[in-house]
Amino acid sequence: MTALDLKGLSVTLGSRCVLDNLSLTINKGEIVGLVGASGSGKSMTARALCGLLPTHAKTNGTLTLNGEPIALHDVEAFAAIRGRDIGLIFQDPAGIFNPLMSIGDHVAEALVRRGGLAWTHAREKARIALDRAGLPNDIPAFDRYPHEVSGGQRQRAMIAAALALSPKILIADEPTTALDVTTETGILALLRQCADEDGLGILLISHDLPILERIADRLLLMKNGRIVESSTLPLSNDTAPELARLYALGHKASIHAAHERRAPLLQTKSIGKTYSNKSQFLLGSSDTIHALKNISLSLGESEIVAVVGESGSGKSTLARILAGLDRASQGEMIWTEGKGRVQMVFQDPAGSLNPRWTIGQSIGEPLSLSANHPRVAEAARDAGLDPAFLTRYPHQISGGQAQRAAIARAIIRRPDLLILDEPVSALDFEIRDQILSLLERLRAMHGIAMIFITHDISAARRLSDRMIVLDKGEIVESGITADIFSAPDHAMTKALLAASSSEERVRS
Amino acid sequence: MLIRVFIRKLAGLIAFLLLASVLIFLIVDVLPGDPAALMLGTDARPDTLQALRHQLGLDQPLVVQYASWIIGLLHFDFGTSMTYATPVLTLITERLPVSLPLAVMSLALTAMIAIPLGALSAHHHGLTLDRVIKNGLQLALALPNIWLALLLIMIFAVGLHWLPAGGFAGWKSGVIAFKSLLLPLLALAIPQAAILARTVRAEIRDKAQENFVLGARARGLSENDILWHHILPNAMLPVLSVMGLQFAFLIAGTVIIETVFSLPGLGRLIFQSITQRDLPVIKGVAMLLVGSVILVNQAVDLLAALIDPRLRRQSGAFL
Amino acid sequence: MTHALRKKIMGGSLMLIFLYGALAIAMPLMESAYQIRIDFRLMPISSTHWLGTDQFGRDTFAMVIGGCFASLSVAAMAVIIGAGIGIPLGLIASASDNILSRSILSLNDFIFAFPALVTAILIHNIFGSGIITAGLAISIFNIPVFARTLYGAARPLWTKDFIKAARLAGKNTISIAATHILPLVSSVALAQISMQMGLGILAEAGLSYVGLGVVPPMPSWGRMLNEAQTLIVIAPRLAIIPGLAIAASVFLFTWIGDKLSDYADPKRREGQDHDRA
Repeated sequence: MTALDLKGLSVTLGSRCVLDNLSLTINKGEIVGLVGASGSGKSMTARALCGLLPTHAKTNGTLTLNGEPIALHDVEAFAAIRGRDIGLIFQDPAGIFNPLMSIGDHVAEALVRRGGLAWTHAREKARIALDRAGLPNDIPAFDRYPHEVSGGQRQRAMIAAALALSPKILIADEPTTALDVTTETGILALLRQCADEDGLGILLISHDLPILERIADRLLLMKNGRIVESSTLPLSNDTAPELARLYALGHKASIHAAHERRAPLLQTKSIGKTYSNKSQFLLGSSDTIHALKNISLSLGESEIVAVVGESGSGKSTLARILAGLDRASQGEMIWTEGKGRVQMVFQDPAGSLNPRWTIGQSIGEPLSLSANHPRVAEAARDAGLDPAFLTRYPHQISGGQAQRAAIARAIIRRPDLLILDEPVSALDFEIRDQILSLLERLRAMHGIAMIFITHDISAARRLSDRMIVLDKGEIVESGITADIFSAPDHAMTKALLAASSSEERVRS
Repeated sequence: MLIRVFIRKLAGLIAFLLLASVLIFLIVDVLPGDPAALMLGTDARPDTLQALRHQLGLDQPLVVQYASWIIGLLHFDFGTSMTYATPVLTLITERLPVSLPLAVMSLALTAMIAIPLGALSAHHHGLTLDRVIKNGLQLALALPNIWLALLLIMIFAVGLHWLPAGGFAGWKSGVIAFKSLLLPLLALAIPQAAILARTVRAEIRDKAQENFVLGARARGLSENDILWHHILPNAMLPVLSVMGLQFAFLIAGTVIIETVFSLPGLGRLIFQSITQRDLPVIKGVAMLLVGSVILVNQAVDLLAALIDPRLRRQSGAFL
Repeated sequence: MTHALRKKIMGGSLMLIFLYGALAIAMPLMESAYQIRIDFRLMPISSTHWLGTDQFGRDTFAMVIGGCFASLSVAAMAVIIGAGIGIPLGLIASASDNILSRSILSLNDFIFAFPALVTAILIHNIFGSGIITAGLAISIFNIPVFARTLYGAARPLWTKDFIKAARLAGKNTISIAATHILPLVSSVALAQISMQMGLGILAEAGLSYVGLGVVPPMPSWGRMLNEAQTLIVIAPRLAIIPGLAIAASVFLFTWIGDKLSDYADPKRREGQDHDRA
């Protein structure tokens, strides 16, 4: 049975056409995956379906919800159905919650203000809803404030709040992008459960094809505001060539062969990092938090080692210590004589460049070179960045170009070790592939060793020679990447691998 | 968590008050040299000078002088005025019934003008009404309150004879008392209200752009509910802290505006004691003014922590 | 409003500020114009006395021009001392989260409890009435104002990745502050300087009115208001004119400050770009 039927949706903002003749249907109990690069119009589609387009947007087309037509430009009509007939959840940014209101009240609020329940009654129902969403009473989330719970718990609460008035349709806009792989699996399973048990129709929007593959019933590919391909699963080259090509990108295997002996570059001996909870003036209570425990690892020249783990596992702390941005509490780092130049590439390309500096100035910074120095242009070319971009400012270039600029800055001084802190997780699917290829080429060309911090197991598999799995600040497994993939030992490794493998679908 | 904030703010209050008392003591009693000579003038006879020194306790070590002053303060003993020969506390309590209501009521009036005006402007943002209010606020902000007071006197007292030009007949006079405080209140509140209304306007517009508004819309709340239950509470936090700072301006403003309207408040007392070099009164009144600003600001911080759970964690300043 | 027009307005207001500065410097040259001459007292507006004379026979126009000097020099002194101490304090506090930065923030909160008037009352015994007392009193209040503004603007920058990249490029904290942080917060600082100039003029008028600021024969707008008060019925212009001078100057500085902070705030600047598109 069709729950949502959209025909010929076009949206123009000013003179720009952002959505062009878009049609899609969602049936009861069905999950429809919508994939596309950023700027392809995915989020605009989500907003149009909920009547949350910018006020100056012009729309065309027809929308039928549960058999009833809705005028797409009718703000009042949408206000009435939003929450009640159609729910919406977003990528986690904590900002989606009112910081002054408890998690439980966020869920109860719609029941009070739209459903007319009393607060006490609404809170009772909210507890049940949170319990169903995987936040049972023994997890003290109900009375906590948004900043006090984890991203995964916030996302579960957001789902519970969106479903409070039991809508028939849920629009999920990148609901797991900010989350760990294991948390992601949980959220996806919850969505699947809602579809299967309650007959909820879900439009799941993501820039990450493997996620959709694991859970969706059908896939739609969006490009430049149009739906260019649609396919049921599994994908095949005949029905959906573009989707099949993207699928192949996600499963590209490592091109370098077996592990070879390398000259040693860096050894760490029992590195540990402890934080004492900032000493409270007067009422002092000092807890010690072990961010890292007993980390011993060795790295050979031009070797790539992936460090994987959930968020909070200590990956980023390790990266900062290895880079020298933070000091270890215990242990030591031993560099091979004459080596030790470290550079780093960060997750958010936009934040890693000074907004008031030209790209050239930023790239030249490590050598104090002016922006028009030939070595700056050379580094840019090495990183696959057209030197024409050197005179631009960060806001004038794309995320992928900004990340290339950040890589150019990192390699201009020919570092011995390059630390990559989630360098591709903020990037679109296709750009991600290009950056990974660039890193492979840099290693081949300049023999730079790399430590690749990531929660993206497939990227780790493709790039790394060896892999280290971190859990709660400790190394729980390490070895040659291919070996770990074929025979994972520790439970955390298994969980991480399972969460990312597309074979194991979250279907019941 | 909340109790921790309370204790921290209380500790802050005590520490700041102590620090303020040391500072005031040093600046008034120590730095200018011999207070006795200062009070009596250059042509004083040596024996009178000596007698005064003894009377003021200036022949004792500084620490003892400070200790006796601060111990006195703790017993509500602010010393004795040289010119009036009465306890400073009596002088202050006689004048507080004018100054205290003036300061508190002007803060309340500031908020009463600023919050609706700022909200109205934010609600109509980009429209003519918003532009009119915005430019009006920019103008009102630049008005010196003394001048505003004189203009109000010219219009409402000299011109229209609606309200008295100055003086205060005491609270027993009922309506007349309110009438004589009305113009001073307006002169104090209007420029401060302009500052606050700009904050209100900016904060509401700012918070209306936040993602939690989108989140609330997605949950199906009406625009009205979003405004009252989500945007306004979040916008009020910065407004509250601006009001805390404004209290300092209003305290100072009260003292000045009292002189403009010849009100028998702390203003007249302190400017008389400056000319008379009546140091105990200067110290006492300064301590009172500074202390009340400290008290109000710590209370505002506490109130903010009550509203915003994020502030219950320690960050930034010690106290 | 177009970008070009904005630029013109900014340029125009900068010119006006220079004009004010020139008037302030011209003050000593006009000294003869505000000598007390009882025989000329309370003259109406005429071609010789453009704004009439006061009860002491001083030319009001000359007094208003002369008043620029006291206003601007006190406000400028307060901004130079306040920004000179407050900006470094705010930047130091923003660079890290340690005892030093927390102490600076606590000190800030403490100094906020001393309005300029109270400080002036306290230091009056040391320096007497005059430019020094008024300037110092306002300076002290300006210190935490600048420190807090700069702290707020600079604090979020220190955690940015490009700062970490600069550290890895071998730069130390001071050179990062100079090359990355300061340029990014300079427009915020400039906006605050302009704002505090305006508020400094207001504060100076208040202090001079109650006799803690500039003393005769130096002309001052605040004192003019004080002296005009008793004549409010017979010669209201004596009160209206200096007040207009104060309000116009304060408006000028706070308006420029507003424009600068619009420019400094990227969120609002984006809004402008939309207007232009």
